[in-house]
Amino acid sequence: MSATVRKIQPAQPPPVGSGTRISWLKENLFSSLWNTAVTLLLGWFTVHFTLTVIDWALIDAVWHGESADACPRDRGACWAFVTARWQQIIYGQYPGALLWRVHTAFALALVLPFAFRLARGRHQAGIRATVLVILPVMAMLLLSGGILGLEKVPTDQWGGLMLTLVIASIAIVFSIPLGLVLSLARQSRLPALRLVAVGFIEFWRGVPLIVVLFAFVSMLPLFVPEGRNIDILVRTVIAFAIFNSAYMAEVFRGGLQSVPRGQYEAAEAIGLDYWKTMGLVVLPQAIRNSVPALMNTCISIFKETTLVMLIGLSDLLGVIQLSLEDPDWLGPTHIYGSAYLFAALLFFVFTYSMSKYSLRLENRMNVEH
Amino acid sequence: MMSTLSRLWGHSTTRSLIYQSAIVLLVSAAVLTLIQTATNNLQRLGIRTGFEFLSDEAGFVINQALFPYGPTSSYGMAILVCLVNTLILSLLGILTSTTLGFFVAIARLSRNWLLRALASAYVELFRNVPLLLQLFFWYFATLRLLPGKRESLSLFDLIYLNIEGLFVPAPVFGQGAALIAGSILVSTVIAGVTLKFARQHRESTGKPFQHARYGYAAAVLLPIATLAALDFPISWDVPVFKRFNFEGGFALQPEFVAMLLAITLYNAAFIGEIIRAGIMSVHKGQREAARSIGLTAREVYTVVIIPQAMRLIVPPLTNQYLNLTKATALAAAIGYPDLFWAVGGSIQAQTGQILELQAITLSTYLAISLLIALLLNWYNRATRLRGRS
Repeated sequence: MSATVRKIQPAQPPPVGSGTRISWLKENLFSSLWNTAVTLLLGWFTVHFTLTVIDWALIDAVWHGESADACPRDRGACWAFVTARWQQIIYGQYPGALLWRVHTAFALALVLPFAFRLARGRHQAGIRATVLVILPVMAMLLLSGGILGLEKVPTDQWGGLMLTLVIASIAIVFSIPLGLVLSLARQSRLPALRLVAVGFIEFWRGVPLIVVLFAFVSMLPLFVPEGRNIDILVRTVIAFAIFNSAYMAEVFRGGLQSVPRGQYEAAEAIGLDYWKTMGLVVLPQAIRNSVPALMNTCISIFKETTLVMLIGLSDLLGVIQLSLEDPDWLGPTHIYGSAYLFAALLFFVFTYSMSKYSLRLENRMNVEH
Repeated sequence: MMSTLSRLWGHSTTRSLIYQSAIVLLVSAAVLTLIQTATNNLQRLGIRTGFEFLSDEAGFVINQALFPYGPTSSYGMAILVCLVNTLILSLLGILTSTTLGFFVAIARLSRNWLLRALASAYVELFRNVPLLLQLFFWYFATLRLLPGKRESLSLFDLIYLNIEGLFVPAPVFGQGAALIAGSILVSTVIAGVTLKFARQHRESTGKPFQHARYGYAAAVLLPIATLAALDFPISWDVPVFKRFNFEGGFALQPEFVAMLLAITLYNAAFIGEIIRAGIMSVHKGQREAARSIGLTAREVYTVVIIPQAMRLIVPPLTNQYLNLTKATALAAAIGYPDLFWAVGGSIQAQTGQILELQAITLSTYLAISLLIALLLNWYNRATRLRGRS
């Protein structure tokens, strides 16, 4: 018997209530007895927790005060610590009269991406390269001074969030090109070069950063000729850059491996030499593919800057720890809690926006068909 | 003459040899210069060289030593005790953060929106805040809020938590402990052989091996039987508060508790994401195909999804374990006696032999990392897709 349908069947009605808010609730929160129980339990916990936090951090908090006496044990968060130490937390011991230099330096750093993107026309590459070199150098000179009649500010007065940002950005800026070179060396056709690169990369990736920082600070004086002394901030930044270049090399290696073999072969087939193959065909694709992992590495570099406090620098966490041990603020434990939570919030704002930016960048650069 | 040279230069093998000799020369020149400078500086500063100091008396106290150590023990012994402390912290941290990470992954994949949202909030929060800051938070701001010894928090009067640390029961092995260890070893072998044989049988005949359960039963029963035969020689030494102090049991220092808490919560956020990504990346068609050939929901996971996801989970997971192990060095910042604490602190201050000590620390961490990397390579080779390349 033939099963041909002669008559067009009428459409069935949509399921009752699908696509409404009620059905969303039902599907996502109350789909079964078990799910309902979980929702109720977690809901109670969330509400309770949020109310406690609001009470502690806003309603019951102490906002102003000069010492630990302002924050008795029975009150909530001690933001007085943060407001009283605000300047040190952000700028360290940088002289108050010279703060405009810090602000200008940060403004320059903020201008950089815009200047980079606005560069247009015949000299685009030239303008970009200039901007990329000139602006950071200007910012660093502004911070350290010592030329053009600017008063010199020794690096032991740098501190707080400013120092954290300085270390992180220099480490990132230097480790990226170094890592790129290392990753190319690791892929080289010369066995000796490959061996040196692999050894270098695996060594740094195999040891903890804090041990490396400590080794650099304590051993570097032994490895430079007598009478030379290297600033501790410079030593730290060198250690950071070298250590992280190994991680960057692995990031770029992933990117290089994602470029299909055919791209190399096609480039060679049309007669490009090694540098042109790399520069015009392989690297543009490899670098684009590396962006997500690259941003992840940048985020971990930013988080790792906290380790510098263990070798005596006063970064954001270092300043907070020092201020907490100051006799003025020594006392109730909840001052520690408030101070760390504030620092965590600051770090979170930076790292979270970095990771969101990385997601956006990834979507924009996604040219897969 | 010129033409011979240029022909040689034009030959790619010769050219690569010249480049490579240049690289080798450059690297060795750099290394030699560094060694020369260091030797000069060491002589100038009058610092002793060599590893003889390892047998000298250390003279400091380590407040967590798993085997006999006293102030009269040698530096070498101190380093060993502290290395064991590092390994304990890493192993426990791996265990706890994997367990927590597993639950985080399940929560992130849950059908319950609220559970999902809370799990992602946890992940974002703990992943984005520096570990050292979290460690300080637990150590200086949280554990210090704990009550004193007299008002300890207790769990069933077995585990006590107070400002001086965590007190847990310690196992005490009576006579015949070696026999029990031996029986566990034997039963592991039995289980392994059964598993292997069952798999071979299944792969060659397509049917499950009927008698496998006897093998597993033997593996489970053997240690129990041994225990019973020896009249259960394992007892628990439970901590008891007497007058001023806890006696018995095993005392975990607050530094240890804080660090374990910090690395667990920090790494579980990463591990949860790794496991979730691995499970999500198994193609939807696999799940549908498994359902359509009639596997139950549980079998879909255990037979189809998990084995495929594992291949994607294990490499980044191993990397995370490596990071965790290296991160335990931060515990030295709050005074937990780990390898970095021993070498970077007291011993260096007392002997001044920076180079040797740094060499010991760096090479030990490097050895641990390489060992884990080797294990990973071995795993990758054992589980890679066969048949296609």
